[in-house]
Amino acid sequence: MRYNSLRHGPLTLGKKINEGGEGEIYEVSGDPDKVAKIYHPNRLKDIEGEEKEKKLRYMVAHPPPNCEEFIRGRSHYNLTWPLDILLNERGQFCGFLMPKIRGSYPILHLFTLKEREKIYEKTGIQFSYKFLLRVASNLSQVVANLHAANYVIGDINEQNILFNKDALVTILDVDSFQVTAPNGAFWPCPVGKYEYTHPNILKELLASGKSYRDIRRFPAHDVFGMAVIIFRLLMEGWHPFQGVLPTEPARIEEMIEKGIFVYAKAIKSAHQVTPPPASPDYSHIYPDLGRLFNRTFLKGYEDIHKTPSAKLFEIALSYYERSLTQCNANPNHFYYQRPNQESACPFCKYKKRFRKDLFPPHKRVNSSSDRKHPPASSLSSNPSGPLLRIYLVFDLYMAPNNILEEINESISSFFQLLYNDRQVKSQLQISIEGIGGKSITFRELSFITEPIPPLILNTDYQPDLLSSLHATVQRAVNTSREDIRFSRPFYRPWILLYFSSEAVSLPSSLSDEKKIRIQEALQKNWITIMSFRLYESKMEEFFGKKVVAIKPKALRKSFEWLFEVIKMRLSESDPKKPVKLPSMGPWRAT
Amino acid sequence: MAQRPLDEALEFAENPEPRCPCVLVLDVSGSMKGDRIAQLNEGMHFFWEEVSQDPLACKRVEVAVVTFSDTVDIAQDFATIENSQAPTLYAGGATAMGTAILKALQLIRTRKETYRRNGISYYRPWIFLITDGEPTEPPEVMQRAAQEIQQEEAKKGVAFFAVGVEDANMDMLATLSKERPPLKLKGLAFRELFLWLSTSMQRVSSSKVGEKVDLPPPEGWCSV
Repeated sequence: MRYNSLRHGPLTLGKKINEGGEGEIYEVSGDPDKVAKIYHPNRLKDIEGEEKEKKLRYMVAHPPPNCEEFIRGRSHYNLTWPLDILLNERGQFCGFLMPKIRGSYPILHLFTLKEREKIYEKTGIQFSYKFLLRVASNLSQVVANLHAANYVIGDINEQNILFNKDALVTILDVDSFQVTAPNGAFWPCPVGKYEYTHPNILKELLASGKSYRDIRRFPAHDVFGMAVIIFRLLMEGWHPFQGVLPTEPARIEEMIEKGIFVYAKAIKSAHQVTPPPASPDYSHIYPDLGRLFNRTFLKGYEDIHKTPSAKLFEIALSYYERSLTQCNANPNHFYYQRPNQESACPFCKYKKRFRKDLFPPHKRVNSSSDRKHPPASSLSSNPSGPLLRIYLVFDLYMAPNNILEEINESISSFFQLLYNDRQVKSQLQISIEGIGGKSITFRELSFITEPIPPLILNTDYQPDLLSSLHATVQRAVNTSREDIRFSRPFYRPWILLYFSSEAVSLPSSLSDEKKIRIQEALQKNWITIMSFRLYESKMEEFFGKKVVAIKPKALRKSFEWLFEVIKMRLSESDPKKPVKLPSMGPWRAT
Repeated sequence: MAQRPLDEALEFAENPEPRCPCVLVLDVSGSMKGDRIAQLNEGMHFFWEEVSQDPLACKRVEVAVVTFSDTVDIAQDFATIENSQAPTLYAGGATAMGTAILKALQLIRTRKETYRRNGISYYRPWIFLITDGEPTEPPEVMQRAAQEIQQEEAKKGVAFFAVGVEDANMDMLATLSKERPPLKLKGLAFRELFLWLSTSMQRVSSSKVGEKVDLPPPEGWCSV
């Protein structure tokens, strides 16, 4: 049978490669780089067929950026995005063309040692935890890009995500994505797999007898499914909602619906549930990633707006990857070493427990370029001059994901600047805090020993600005007192406040004890407070000083300015002598 | 409660997928000798081959095989398709059908408890009985078997299927399950029967929430 592609003209199909419920996949004669999906005729009847054709035509015309990338001189497809629609001999819509993917395997083959060994025998790919982490972060990047282009995947599962030898990811089944056109046209994602389905959708499916095609999905729903995949990648295939209950084990969808994320402390006691005995020790997971899992599996259950974005997963995973320590016993064991804790490789522990090495040493020893992280103590440099202490304090009450993304990306590049500067590394100590009902410490006051900042997340508590600030001021003043006692030279500490929510303000009554204390510290020059506002904050003035407004998307630039200010301050070794500040750049909103 | 083997968790460390258990309860009495048992064996091998092709189903579908003649034997305890091979059965002797069904129910109870301890969720277990005769045991045994099946069926603890081969006593089989009437095998179409079972198991083991699994029609092997 002959087919017609609008862009590529007439073509004939080669052999059938695959068959599914919806249609069949064929090779394209004379074009080894493409395949054709031909729908079953009964799937194209009436309105269903018409809608499918409209959807595919829209998708062909509006591919998201980066469907295809050139990596290591070769083309890689992040998505099997439809290249063109196909018409049959009678000129009727019957399917579409898409790129052919080679040398990639469903992600389910990464979940367990046994599956990884099978792939190794077939392909020679040797795995490590690093490989799994990179697949996870590449996956979150592809998902984040799709969301940025206003597409929702809908049916995320372990069979339609592929990985290759370079840990690059490809998402399949693109024609089932949920598509929303700017003119309001909407095509739902008609399918799903319950093990990766957000509890709110499960509830709708169960309560009303709706089917997936009746439900509008949001990016947060994709993030739930993606987080389950990432969890399974890093936890040897165990599903986050799989655990030992005192009663008969519930089906996974029931556990998801009830929000029984079995690794969360609160859930463990409330439901008398424990993680499966054969699952790896969850405490090996990088704490910032663990917080994202909590927000996705617990908080997102209350309110999908609390689900972090795919981009935040990507950021946390990149921190995780960069924080890996190499094991002394097996150079193919990479793990996160918690600071101030005895070194304990989780994979050696697992090996002892189950007599299986999840990541056996690579067969050919490659001279690994991986640098072992020197122990933090050897890096904490001897101060070569007075110490500068900076307290970064963020008001992130209910901050939405886009603000969190901007803050984290800005802090990430700021830390890179700080880390690359010798003098800064030896004289600057930095603390990062959040204002909440109680104050949250993202990073304890310390030197920059590695270029990896903490992940900054939003708070759900109604913030109490005065109490939080008061606590920070107290700590700053006490630290200075210690310095005086031990005759250590220091610059006046800086407290930098970043307001983002409308909800935060200072009580107007001057008589407040805490307010008076803060005022006193300012008047006596014990501290310097600089304040900034971004996003929705209406804060104009703060303790008699103007609040500097930062333009949208310019936070990163403001941190570059802050870096200059720090350099300027440190260039004057006499803490008493004031220095002139560099002028604020165009990042400042007027 | 059954005893617990050491290192039980290892099995699930290797494969944490939810399980889809199925017990084949097979008649290997004297009447099955010859062509019948040969076809049954071939059908079973075909079943293993079919399910092995599906990367997810081969990790989820677990089959145990209980045979009955004079005695009841566990030809194979629960194992996933990827970790097991089809057994080859030999026929001869009487027909201890009721005891075999009770044995199957007991295997399922033990297996469920193992799943629970290890945090493995599972789909509704299936019991798939294939026979060409009628029980040679005292009637109380069959009565008890029927009673237990009906109790389990009522709480959706198992799904019981009975298939009669050629001169099987279909009326007697009909007393076993009220939910599902027994099916009569067309000739010796064991291969088609096991293809159907393989397709059904693959569908069940990847079924979705709230979705009533549509089993394929038993065309090709079932005579009405």
